[in-house]
Amino acid sequence: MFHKLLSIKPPVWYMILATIVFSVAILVLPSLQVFSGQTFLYIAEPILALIVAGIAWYYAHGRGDRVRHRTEKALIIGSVIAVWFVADFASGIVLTYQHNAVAASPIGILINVLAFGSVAVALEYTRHSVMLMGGRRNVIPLGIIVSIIFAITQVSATQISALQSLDDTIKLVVGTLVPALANSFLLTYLAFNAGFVPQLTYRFGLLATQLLPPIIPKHDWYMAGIGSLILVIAVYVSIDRTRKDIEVKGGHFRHAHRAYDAMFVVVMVALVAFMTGFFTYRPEAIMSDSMNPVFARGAIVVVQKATAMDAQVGDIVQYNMPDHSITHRVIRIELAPDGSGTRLYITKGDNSPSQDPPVKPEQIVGIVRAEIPYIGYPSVWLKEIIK
Amino acid sequence: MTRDRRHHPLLRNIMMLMVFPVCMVGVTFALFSQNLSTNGNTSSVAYVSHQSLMMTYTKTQTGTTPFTYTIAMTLKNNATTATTVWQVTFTVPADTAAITCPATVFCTLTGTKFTVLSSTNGAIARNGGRVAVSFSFKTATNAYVLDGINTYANYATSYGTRAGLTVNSAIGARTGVSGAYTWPVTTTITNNYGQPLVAWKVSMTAWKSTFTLSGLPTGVTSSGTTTLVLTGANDLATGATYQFTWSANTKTTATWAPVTTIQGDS
Repeated sequence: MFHKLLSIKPPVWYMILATIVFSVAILVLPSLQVFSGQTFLYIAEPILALIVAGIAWYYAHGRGDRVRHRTEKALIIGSVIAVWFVADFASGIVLTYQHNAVAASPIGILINVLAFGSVAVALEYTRHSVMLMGGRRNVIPLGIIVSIIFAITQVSATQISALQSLDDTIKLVVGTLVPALANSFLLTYLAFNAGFVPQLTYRFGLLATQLLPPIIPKHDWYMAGIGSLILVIAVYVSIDRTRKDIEVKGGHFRHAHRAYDAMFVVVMVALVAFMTGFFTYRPEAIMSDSMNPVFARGAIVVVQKATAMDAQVGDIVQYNMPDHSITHRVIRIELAPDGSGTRLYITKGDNSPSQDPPVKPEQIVGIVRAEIPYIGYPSVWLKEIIK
Repeated sequence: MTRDRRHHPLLRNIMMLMVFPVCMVGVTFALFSQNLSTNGNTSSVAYVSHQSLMMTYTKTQTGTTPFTYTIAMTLKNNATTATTVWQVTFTVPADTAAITCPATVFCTLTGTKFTVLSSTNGAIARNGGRVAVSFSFKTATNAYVLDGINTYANYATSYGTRAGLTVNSAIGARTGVSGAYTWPVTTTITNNYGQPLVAWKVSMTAWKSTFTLSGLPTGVTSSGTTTLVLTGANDLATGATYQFTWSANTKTTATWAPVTTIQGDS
């Protein structure tokens, strides 16, 4: 293997060296506090990455991809990412959603896309140039080296310095290091076997799923790590199995149609899961106007399952009575007069003249998170007919 | 023309791939971002964990994930003596970080147990004295509510007469033979002061150096030469009665007719 590496041209090593310098710089510079965190992330890192890409362009200028069916392969990757994203996003019905900290505003999204996107383009161009100039004979040893070095660029020094226990280490390995390595190996594979456009499609697809949605499912480190690995495997299998298929049968764009069908099925399953109410969020038809004008009779409210400890003054909670449930706002939380320390929730409909009898914690089953007007009327009429 | 024919299906397919992701994210965000709650970021709940030290707080949630929670806490000392040091503990989410505390308190986080301990000055004046502390921390948990709150305080030792705190020491008939006489004593303490007591002190006059005593229960100690002082360090709850028997011994035929008084420490 080593004699193969020795046969690689010096410019390839120069590009790898530039990437190593970049990797070390982004690991070390933040701890030196030469720049503020934001200056480093949005100015220094993109400039460094563009310098590395400039070196790659200097040596690899004029060399093009010789891989066939690049557009079709890019579309296959896009299809897999789209299906993965829809399934991943739908998991929020079970796991609940949270605001995406990196997509707080349109300006913020734009800045992030420019900063992280320029770094992604620069690094992937460098990776592609290295693999292109390394040659077919050296693809395996060079691919391993390139994948490991480029994976380092995905790891933050802050995460490493924050390690305090074995738990932290396991979380970093499963949640960050292994996915970073897997993604890097896949991108190297794509650089050589699929070309720059599919490679960039994968990298940008990943970035888009992280930077664009204003809300994301609440995944823990394990779910995040496993989710990334599933995507890597799915993309690899799709490209590897369909590469020859395209060449033999010329089946253009069939994968996009399959992906569309898969996404349709996932969305339908998610919708059914939501409607049945077995998961964290469930719909509930509103039967009266007691909460007017927030929501009126015939609306559907989305109730998040919650315990009383989650309910605050101002929240609209759903609580159970012996033969029905009520959806009203908490206006006060008091301690039980018997001195037991039990909380009592004082609720009232916004449109009701008087407050409800005190609600015990065990009666509260959920908090209203959203409302959709009118679409609950069929359910309302049905319930009234049954009565 | 050829170029158009080639690219139109590509664009159509790209758009087809975007439909579900965009619709799902759009609809979910539209639902998720509704603000149906009024004044939903602040709440105020009072707790009485320690019988004399009441903690109230106002919580403010700001920002996006991780959310910043600012807790404005007030401690009120309802006891009749000042505190020397106080502490509040509660449970926080496991990912709590970026704790900001003023210099007047120590904030520590052990696992999910958050502790606020008075530092430079732990005194809270008696009879309704207050101290206010504001601190903050970050967590990704949305709509977090302080849970498992406990308050603790050490109080300045201060014995004094307490209205409603009474004592009765019933001295029985002397028994025994020459050189070894014994008075059986039954002491009954009743706390109708309205506040729990952490200690009490019973004084009995006309005690002589030749007297000895025996049979005191655990937690009660004695001292004094001319006035016998019995000190109890056990808590005496509001409305509680504590009775114990013991023996006063003497070798002579001297008489003993004490005046019994009591002081309490809350």
